[in-house]
Amino acid sequence: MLTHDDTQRRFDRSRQAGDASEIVTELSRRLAQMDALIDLGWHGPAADQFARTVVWLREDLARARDLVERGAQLLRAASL
Amino acid sequence: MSDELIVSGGGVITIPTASLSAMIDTAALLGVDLHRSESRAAALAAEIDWEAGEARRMIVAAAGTLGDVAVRTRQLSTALAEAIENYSETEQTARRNAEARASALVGQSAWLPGGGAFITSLLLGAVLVALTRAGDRGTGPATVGRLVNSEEVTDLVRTVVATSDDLLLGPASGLVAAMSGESVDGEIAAMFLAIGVAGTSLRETPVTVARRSVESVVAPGSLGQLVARIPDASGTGQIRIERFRDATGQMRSIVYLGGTTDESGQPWDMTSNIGLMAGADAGSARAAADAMRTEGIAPDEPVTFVGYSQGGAIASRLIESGEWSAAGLVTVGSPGADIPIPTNVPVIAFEHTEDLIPALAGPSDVHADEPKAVTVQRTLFDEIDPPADALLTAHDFAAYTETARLADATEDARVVAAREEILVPLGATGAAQAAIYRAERVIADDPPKVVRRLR
Repeated sequence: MLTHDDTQRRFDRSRQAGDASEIVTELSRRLAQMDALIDLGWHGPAADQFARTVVWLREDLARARDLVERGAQLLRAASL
Repeated sequence: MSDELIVSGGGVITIPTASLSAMIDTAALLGVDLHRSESRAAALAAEIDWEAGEARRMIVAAAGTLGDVAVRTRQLSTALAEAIENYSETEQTARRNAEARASALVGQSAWLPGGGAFITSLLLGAVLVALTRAGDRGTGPATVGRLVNSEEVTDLVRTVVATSDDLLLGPASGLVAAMSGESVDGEIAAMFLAIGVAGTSLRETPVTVARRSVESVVAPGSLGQLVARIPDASGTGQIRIERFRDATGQMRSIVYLGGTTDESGQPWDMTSNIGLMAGADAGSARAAADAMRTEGIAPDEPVTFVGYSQGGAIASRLIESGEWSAAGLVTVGSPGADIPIPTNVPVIAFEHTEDLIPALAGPSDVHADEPKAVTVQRTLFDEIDPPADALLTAHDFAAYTETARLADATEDARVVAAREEILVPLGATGAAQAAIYRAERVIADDPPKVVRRLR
């Protein structure tokens, strides 16, 4: 028998999982924006350094998105 | 084939400015958006109680990473803007490093016959072969076509030329000796035999010029029009002179000079090319000056010079001579970018990045620190492969005409400034008179003429 608190908690987890999923979608869009920065269309030492830095930032951003995604999965599981 | 222009000179080197400005803005906005995502994740984490501690820890960690990425992305936007400002210095440092490597290569070749001069001669020889054979057939072996139209080879030629000033003295003096009929260095003679131009006369001759036609025209109003009016040297004449009164009533001239043609018996030939590059006598430059005098251009009359290929080098030499009052210079695929001209003369030099001919002048940023000299480059083969069986495709005159039209449309501040300084004084009050001059070499036993077009 679920108590009122259990029901409320599951409702909260479900809502939080939804919010986390929205953040994941948002971060996927940011990753696509970051991809567009990698190729500047010109070459040279400054351009190469810029591209390398963007690649590192993209890796960190992808890691952050994965963390939020796993958090969303855990929250969704806790809502069931 | 890119429509994007790479602009250098005007005191500072810039790169495709429109797209880079967009990049800077994109990075800055992305930084702001990432801060919003960080705030949203942090707010979500704050809502999650201890019972979902693992999920909370993950989202807290994600928020921290997002904040860090947001800060670094915004810093990157700022750094990119600064990098563009410092691009000239960065590229010049990179070029110095490349030159050091090339010097080492040349030094290591000392065991070869002629050492560094041998390597330089080979590179120049490759270009001469391309020039010579382009006139013959317009096509060549597939591998040669790919090489001659490649940006990598062009860069190598620029670097080697930049490092070989002293080494070039050997070939240049040999060429001058060859033209003057004095004793010829054995290696130089061997070089010309090897590259197949030994049959070409390299001896300078007297020249004549004659006015072939006159017509009334409207003075040009754009860079595209200026370039399009350069005469085809294998046609009616190699020199076109337009004269008119400007808005102040002052007489002005525009002197258009065509590119090399291998039509025999005329001075727009390889002999003049070599003389122009070696700083020696060149029949084509003498002929152009004769035509200007015949046209009645006074030493104090403002003259705008426009030249394609050899015509660009002739224009630079005429300005260097100090005999004329140069009001502007537009060169198109010219091998004469390293010819010193007064820094108060506005210059626009069009170069395709894969074109070997302007590469013979060395690095494309030789005028980077001159506020009135702007080099406008364009890459033709960034999206398509160069034709495998055609030589000097990147030197094509029609492609350069299109590049000039693109320069009319660009809003790059340096191009706009040089464009206005060159074009605004050309605003005529009435019709201009355009005269075409034909130059010929005076040769004792004139051989039958063989007409072949180089462009």
